[in-house]
Amino acid sequence: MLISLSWLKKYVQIPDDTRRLAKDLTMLGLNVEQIEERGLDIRELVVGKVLEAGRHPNADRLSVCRVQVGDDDVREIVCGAPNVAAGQTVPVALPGALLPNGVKIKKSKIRGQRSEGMICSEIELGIGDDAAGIIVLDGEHEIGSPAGPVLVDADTVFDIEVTPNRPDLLSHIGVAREVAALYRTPVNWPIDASAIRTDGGAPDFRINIDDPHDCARYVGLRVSGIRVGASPDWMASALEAAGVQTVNNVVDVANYVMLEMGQPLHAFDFKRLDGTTIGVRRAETGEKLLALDGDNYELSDDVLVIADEREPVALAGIIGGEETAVHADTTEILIESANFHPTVVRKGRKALGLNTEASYRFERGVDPEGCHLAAERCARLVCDIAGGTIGGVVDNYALPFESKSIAIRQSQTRRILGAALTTTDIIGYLDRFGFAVTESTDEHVTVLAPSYRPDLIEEIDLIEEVARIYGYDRIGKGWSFRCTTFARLGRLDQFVDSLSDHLAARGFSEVIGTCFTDGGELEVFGWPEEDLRSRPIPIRNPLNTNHKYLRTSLLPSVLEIVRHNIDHGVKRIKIYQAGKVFLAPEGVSQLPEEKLILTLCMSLPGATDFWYDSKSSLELFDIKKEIELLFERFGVDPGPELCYDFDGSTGHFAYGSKDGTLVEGGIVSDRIARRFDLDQPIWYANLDLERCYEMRLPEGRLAPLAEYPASKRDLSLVGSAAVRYADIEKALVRYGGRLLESVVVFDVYQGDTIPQDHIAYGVRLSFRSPERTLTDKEIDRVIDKLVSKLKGEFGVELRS
Amino acid sequence: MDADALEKSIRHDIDTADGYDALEQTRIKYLGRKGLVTGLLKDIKDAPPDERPKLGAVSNKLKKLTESLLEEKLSVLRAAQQGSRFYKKPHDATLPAHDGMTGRRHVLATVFRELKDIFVGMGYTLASGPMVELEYYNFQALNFPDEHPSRDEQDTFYITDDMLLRTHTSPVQVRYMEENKPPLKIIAAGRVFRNESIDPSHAAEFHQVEGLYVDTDVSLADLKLDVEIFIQQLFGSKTQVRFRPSFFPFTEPSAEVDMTCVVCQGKGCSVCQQTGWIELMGSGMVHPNVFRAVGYDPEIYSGFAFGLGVDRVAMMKYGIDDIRLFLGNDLRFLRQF
Repeated sequence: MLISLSWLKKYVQIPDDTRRLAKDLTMLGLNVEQIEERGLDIRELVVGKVLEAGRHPNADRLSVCRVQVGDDDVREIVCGAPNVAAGQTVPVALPGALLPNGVKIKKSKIRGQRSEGMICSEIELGIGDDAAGIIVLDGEHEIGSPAGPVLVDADTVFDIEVTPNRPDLLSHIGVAREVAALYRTPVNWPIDASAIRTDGGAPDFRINIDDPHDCARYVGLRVSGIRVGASPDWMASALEAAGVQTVNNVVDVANYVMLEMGQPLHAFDFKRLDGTTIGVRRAETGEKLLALDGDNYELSDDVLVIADEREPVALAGIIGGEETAVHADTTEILIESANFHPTVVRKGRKALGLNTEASYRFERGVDPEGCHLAAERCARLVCDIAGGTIGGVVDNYALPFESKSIAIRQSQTRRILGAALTTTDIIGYLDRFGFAVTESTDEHVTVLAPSYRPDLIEEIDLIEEVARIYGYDRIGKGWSFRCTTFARLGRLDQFVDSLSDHLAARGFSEVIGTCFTDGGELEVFGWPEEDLRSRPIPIRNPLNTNHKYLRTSLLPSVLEIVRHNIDHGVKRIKIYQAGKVFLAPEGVSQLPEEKLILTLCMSLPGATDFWYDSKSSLELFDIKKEIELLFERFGVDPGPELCYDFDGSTGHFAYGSKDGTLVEGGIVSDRIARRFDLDQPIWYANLDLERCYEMRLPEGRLAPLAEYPASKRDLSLVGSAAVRYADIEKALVRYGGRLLESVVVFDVYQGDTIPQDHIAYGVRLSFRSPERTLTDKEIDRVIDKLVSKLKGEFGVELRS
Repeated sequence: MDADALEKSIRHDIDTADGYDALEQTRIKYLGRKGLVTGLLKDIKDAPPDERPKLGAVSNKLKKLTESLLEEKLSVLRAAQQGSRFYKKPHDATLPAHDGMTGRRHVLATVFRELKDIFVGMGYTLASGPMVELEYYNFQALNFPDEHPSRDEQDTFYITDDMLLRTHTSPVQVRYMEENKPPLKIIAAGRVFRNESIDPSHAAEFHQVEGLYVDTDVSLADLKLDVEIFIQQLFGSKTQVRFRPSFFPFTEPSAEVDMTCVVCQGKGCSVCQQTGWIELMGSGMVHPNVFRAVGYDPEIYSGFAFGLGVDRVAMMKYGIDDIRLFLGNDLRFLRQF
């Protein structure tokens, strides 16, 4: 809300120091977001009088003028404006003046004629759009005096952030009330209730309100015999300061009174209304209205309209109709000052996609008691400015306002604020806001909530008022550390935190991506229909296509990030993201499952550009290694009841059981890479973090460190390449018994010395007993058993 | 012993010293209190005056020589003791050994962790709730009336009429209070969504941390203490904090919390629009209607709540001027933190 201080001053005394006022208002809850100093302060811009204006000897379009700019100071000035004439009072920029458009005025010669300054147009001074001619000043002005203040009134304008609960602050009087409370001074109203005439003569029209819940009150006031024209300067500059465009003297008055008192007003051209009954009703479906903004609106039952006897003439509380608006030839008007229900106006303007100064105020709540006074004020100002006489008035107050009594207790005020206020203090503070006290005891005070404060509903609302005027900064600091709960981070949070630290140490950088997706991944990822990832939740009102769905996988956003970085020259990438995906087994009939996923992604293409790191490209085992390190580090046991599924032919792998995958990963397929415009090998893995967390081995008790030495045996096993190593290892572990401590593959061989389609593994078995040193005999027994089992189950033999 | 003989003897002794002890004995022999070089220096005062300058120069030269020889030998002895038979000298030990591929946490995660650390230290327990929320928890239970303009300030992504993407972390408060009895002291942290056009200071997805404390007799004064402690923990103990009245549907009285501008330290600059203050967080006393919605009696319980933007905190702490950088994940950006 733009509040002009020179306007505000008409209603309340304000301090000269505008910074102090801004700070005090801010601390009262009226946040002054910006302070604009208005005015035209140009040095060497003076009022001049054109004594003579004659043709330039060498140029048809130029005039040579003699301009008086001081008592004995007459300058010769060449002027190009067609409207310059002797006798005019004009703004003159003398040599040395710096104009807002950057032009510096100097003495010069124009086509051989001396010119000692410039007579200015609006555009040159940056105060308007008129470039056609020079500004001609009205009225008496001292020749030679600064022209800036004559052209633009100096003013300070506050941009105040008005919260949605305070519609009363959307006017200068509303802000004046707060200033009055702040500095304990009175508000000077431009008009008071006693000015309302009740004898304006018999009205020649009627107001019909269909439903008082839509429109609690409608005041119609006739003014006749007006002349539409331009507004006087004072009003135009006040409106301009408040950011409202001028239209004509009648519309300007209506806007002025709205900005003054907060009541939106509308003026109809009475002669353009059909019949003499004004109706306030819901629109019928199919009705249309050409509104003042030039748009033709198709209406529905959601929209409340003002209608004459034939058709809608205005959208109630939103915007007037073009046809019945004040035109240049209008002489008779009907001023509307009504109280429409916030919800009706809000629904209507949302249905129509409109937002106006009027609807903004009605949606928040306009003072129902102020209608008639605002209408009267508007009518009087119209008469002052546009002539005319006030005629009949109809005040249809269909649903009279009932003021609420609210009690505020001293004990509750102290308890909520933590400040030792007495009932007397409370009465004093409420009185500064002008709230009428109807009852008071030692413990509580009852006040009537004013009609302009719809936000005052219960005790807490009054406690806030007391706190505001008492001053938040005067409230001391309490002591909240008596809470008996104890605090810690959730275990899953801690798990994710330490996992992140581990990954950082492994060289992965964390990324945090968007929760949205455009759905483009769906066609390339090829998730089967029963996979919930193929059915993302759609957003009903996305701003753009990027926000079409919620993600079901982190990988697409990670790949986007990879692509972005490759595009910006970072080609060697190791990143991870831990975040939630949204899976909807029940569609949108209930809240989706938000599943915590970790996605790793690495790509180190081509020869390294660093001398020491000789690795040139990644293999499947590089990403598998990261997963297995995670398992190892965090005690996640993916087996033994988990099946181990691995298909080396396409470069993918998975750890998981029948009821769900724990980890899946591999190389990004060409199909997906193409979609993301990626042209280098990229490896990824997706982990179900919550399951990983659940699958951690229980925290056991300390196992004693081995006292007896381990015995190591190396076996060289050879068998068909179709046998998977994982199965061999599983068998070794199963049949190795308690004595087998660990199995490590130290060599994998395929080549000439063994049959084709065969593969040889060098495995190192480590045996140990907690009770004694093992004898060779004991170990041999186990080895024999292992060898025979391997041969029996897989045809794998010891290599000779 | 003349100077030349002495020098020769010094060189020989130091050269043949085969350990720290022998070297120390040598030092004492020449530079000790009764050492030979020390003795030479003492003799100067007994010499005839015209010989003194020359004698002085010679003695001093010997002293310096002895000291530097001792130092040299010491490093030889040290090297001999530190060497390893497995060591192979590289052709140049000054070559870099690392290609800069270090992993980092995302700057937002770092800030989240710092915030959580501070709040846990202040007795707040971490609570969580879903990002896809019911309209009831996001608005209604938080005293946002239906069709009220206060909803306009939170442009919302809807999934259905009653399902949406949470616009703030406050629904977690309601869910937690439904499940627990006071006293309670929690924070909720996570992503929130606003359906608005994106620019350097507005994102459709950003992050909040929110606190709630409910007990009997919690007051605005208690809120001021906790918020001030928190801000000073985060931005330093010299940071000034100011509370000014504001409006949020779910708190009353409500307060906007400003802190002294991080750029000008409160002197006034373009970042703080010459006021010396910048807006950091919203706060207030829990509105009785919120308590009523979760079945707490506002006559018995009172509480405060506060919330702040994590992205905003990160921007202030690190001088980041574009909120879009966070979800942009440009590694050139991420590696700076």
